[in-house]
Amino acid sequence: MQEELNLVQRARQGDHEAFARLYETHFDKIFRYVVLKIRNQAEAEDMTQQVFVKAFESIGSYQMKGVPFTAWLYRIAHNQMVDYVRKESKKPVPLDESLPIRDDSDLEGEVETKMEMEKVVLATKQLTKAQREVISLRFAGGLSITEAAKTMRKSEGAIKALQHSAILSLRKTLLAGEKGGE
Amino acid sequence: MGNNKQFSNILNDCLERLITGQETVEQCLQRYPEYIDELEPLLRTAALMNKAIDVKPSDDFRARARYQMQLKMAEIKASHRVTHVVPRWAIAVCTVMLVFVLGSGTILASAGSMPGSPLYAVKLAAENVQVKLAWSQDKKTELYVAMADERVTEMTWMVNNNKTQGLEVAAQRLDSYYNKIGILPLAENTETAFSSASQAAAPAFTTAIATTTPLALSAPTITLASGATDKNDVTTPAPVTIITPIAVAPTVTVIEVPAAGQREDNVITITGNQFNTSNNSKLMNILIYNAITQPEKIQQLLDSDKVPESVKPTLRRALAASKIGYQNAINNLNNTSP
Repeated sequence: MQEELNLVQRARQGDHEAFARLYETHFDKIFRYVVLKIRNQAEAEDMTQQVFVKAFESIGSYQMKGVPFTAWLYRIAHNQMVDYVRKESKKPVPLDESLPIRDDSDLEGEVETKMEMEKVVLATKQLTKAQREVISLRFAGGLSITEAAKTMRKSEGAIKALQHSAILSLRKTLLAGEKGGE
Repeated sequence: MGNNKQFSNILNDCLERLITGQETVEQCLQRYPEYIDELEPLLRTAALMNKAIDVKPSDDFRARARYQMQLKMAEIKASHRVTHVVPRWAIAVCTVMLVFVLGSGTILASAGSMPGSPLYAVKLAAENVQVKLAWSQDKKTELYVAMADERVTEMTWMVNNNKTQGLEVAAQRLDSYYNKIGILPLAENTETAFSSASQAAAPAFTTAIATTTPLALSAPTITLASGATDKNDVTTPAPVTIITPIAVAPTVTVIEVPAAGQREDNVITITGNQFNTSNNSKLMNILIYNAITQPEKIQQLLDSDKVPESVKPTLRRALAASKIGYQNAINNLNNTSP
């Protein structure tokens, strides 16, 4: 944590190496967060790049005493996606064609993974916006409750409650899907 | 309500460990046996979610993104530095002069001025205006190469005349030109740049980009030593070196250019059919020539006892940037050649 603070401090002062290390730390998670929300690999790749470009352009004005760096970064990602949806108003590409898969899985595993992901992502569509955001931040972004709370400008209690209700809702949706598929 | 809050905390405790891989569902349930009925279905769902979204960016995307980010960082860094250093009045004066009185006495007089001279700001401004008026990316690249060469000449002059107080600023300018040189040819062929990213000498993400060359850019004629076709004729300037034509593909040549006393870290590898007679050949020759000479001159400055230690980190950065910038520029130009 202290190391990240130091890196952020250095990055704010124009140290490119420090920013590069922050980039490497957060790149995969930001990509996963974006992909879960956009559900299109190509678009998610573009968006992930944009998030870091924006972060690099703005890091000089980032106030360390305000929100944690992680929360600040995910706010950028969130805002980029809001802009994207507003401007593009594109319909999501079917999951089968767009979603990336884990590099280390075999073919059978890949199909299984895609199907699992498709089910889960479809289930998240039944959630409220706030619930979906909590799930994305916690599971895709790997943010702690505190970081998610800062990102969403809510209390930690509220985030825990949203998380709880979201998983409950996902459970019900997934169960209903299984029963419907029988 | 209180129970619900308590359960949310327990659920969160388990999720925290589940998401970070510290615990399995079973291990968590063992810690809270009294909540097992309520907790288990939720944790199973969470585990499914965790597994399902465990996607990773492809290696190809990762490499492309890193390269693009590197370029963006260099671009922003360069634009921040250059635009703030030259006074606006000087740019305005030079624009008017260049447009209406091209070759005016003031500008010509400023051309030979050195840092500290009253006309030095006019010289910098005139250079920037020339870049702004350049009609192509290749021309801009040529100009930046020339400007970089000019800065190195000035730095050498400053060191020789014990006027080292302006060295840091000059070195920063130099670094920014190198960034531009590495980027500019890309601007005309982004797609090629992307496709070459993976092979472009693994763009070290943390370094800047660079390149340099003399202002009155007469492209040096480069002549190949032996064993190559006429098309590949190349002449290397004095300190240069090993030329190995590859027999299988006559248009492909690999040159390793050890600069500054054969130091291994100064070797730039040039690969491809860049030594042709196409429209790009002049720029290519300029790039190759300066890829050899510039790092050597910077290294000489670094080796000088007269250069303050406080300036050397910036010089080292510029040296590293020059190598990457030239390498990128040459690779990119090579990829855009017919």
